[in-house]
Amino acid sequence: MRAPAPQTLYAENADYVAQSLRRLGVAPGAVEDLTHDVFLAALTRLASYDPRRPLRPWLFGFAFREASAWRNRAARLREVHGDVPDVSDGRETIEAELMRSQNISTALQALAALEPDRKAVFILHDIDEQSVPEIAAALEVPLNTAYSRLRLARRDFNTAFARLQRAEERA
Amino acid sequence: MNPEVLEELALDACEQLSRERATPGLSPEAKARVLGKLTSSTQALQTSLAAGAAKGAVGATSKLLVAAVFAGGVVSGSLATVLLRPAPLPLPAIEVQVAEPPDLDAAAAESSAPSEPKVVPAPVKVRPKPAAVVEPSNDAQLEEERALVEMARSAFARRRLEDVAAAITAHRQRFPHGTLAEERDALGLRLTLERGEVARAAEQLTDFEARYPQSMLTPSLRAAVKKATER
Repeated sequence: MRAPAPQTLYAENADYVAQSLRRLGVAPGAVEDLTHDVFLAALTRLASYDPRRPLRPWLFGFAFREASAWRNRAARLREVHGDVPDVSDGRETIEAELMRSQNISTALQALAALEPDRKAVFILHDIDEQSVPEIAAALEVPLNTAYSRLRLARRDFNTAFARLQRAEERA
Repeated sequence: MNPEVLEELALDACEQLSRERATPGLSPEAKARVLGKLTSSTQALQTSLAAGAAKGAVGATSKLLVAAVFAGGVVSGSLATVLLRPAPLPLPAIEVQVAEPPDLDAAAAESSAPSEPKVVPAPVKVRPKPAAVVEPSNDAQLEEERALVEMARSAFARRRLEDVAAAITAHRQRFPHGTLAEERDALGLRLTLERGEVARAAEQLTDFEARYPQSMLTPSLRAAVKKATER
């Protein structure tokens, strides 16, 4: 099996990368630019792709890293403007607030409340339906770490989802 | 990990996540814009790589890949290959690694081989792709299995249900008890639901639960069947 040609790589996976970035919490206005960055990064690392493994988890790894960098840049900008989000204590993030205002599904709002590493495993497993061994390989983490993150992500997701549903019912 | 400690997702959440799989990514216009930018970026990078190679006085095309790595430090050989050859673009036959500790066995072998002039002092090693870890026969089977399951998954995302069915059937015929049989059967169940055959999907779910009692795919499949039954 061979690595895909770059044109094919882009044509068949542009939607997937854009969706993944959005699920990872990238603002809609930044998804297009970051899609470009993800593919450029993937092309420069094509030699590291093992064609025996599924392509999309490998691409997701680039999306995850680009989304993390974008989030850090956005956080610094917000710091400059005196609007610092607290994303470390489980409280609702700015992304979640934005999504609610844009009529995004409760599930995606709950997803936004997850810690980034756990969110990545959750997306790959419960949306992309990838196996945990493939997820561990794509994110370059030990298998047990991937399982642990999935377990914690499920717990956090359910908590956030229930909280959001209660809020919707009250509204 | 004990699968029993993994919380099941709420039914509503499963349904919403299922719908999320079918949401569009980029508009055709946005895709074209990204492709245009990507083309410009890779062309700019090509120029940079070529300039770096020339600066390093490495004339031969075959050396350009290594020279590019020297110049940029982060660019793999594959992209240079991609940029320097016309389509269709082949998988490079070599892997270029940067700043790795020296392989003592390889270094010993190289010391007896005819030496080439060193153009840079950076520790660069060019070597064949590493051998597969698993047995070749098992590896080849898994490779083929993955290709078929990925084909089915990809077709599902594009709503090409006949292609999904073809890939699933091919996998079932070739690998009835394969490593990825669980994923295949889950996709098969979703395909049945997609076709509106709810009763048959319920039967498939019963079979699936019996065959894969520890499967982490079961909650979402169960939720999808329940939802379809209630319609």
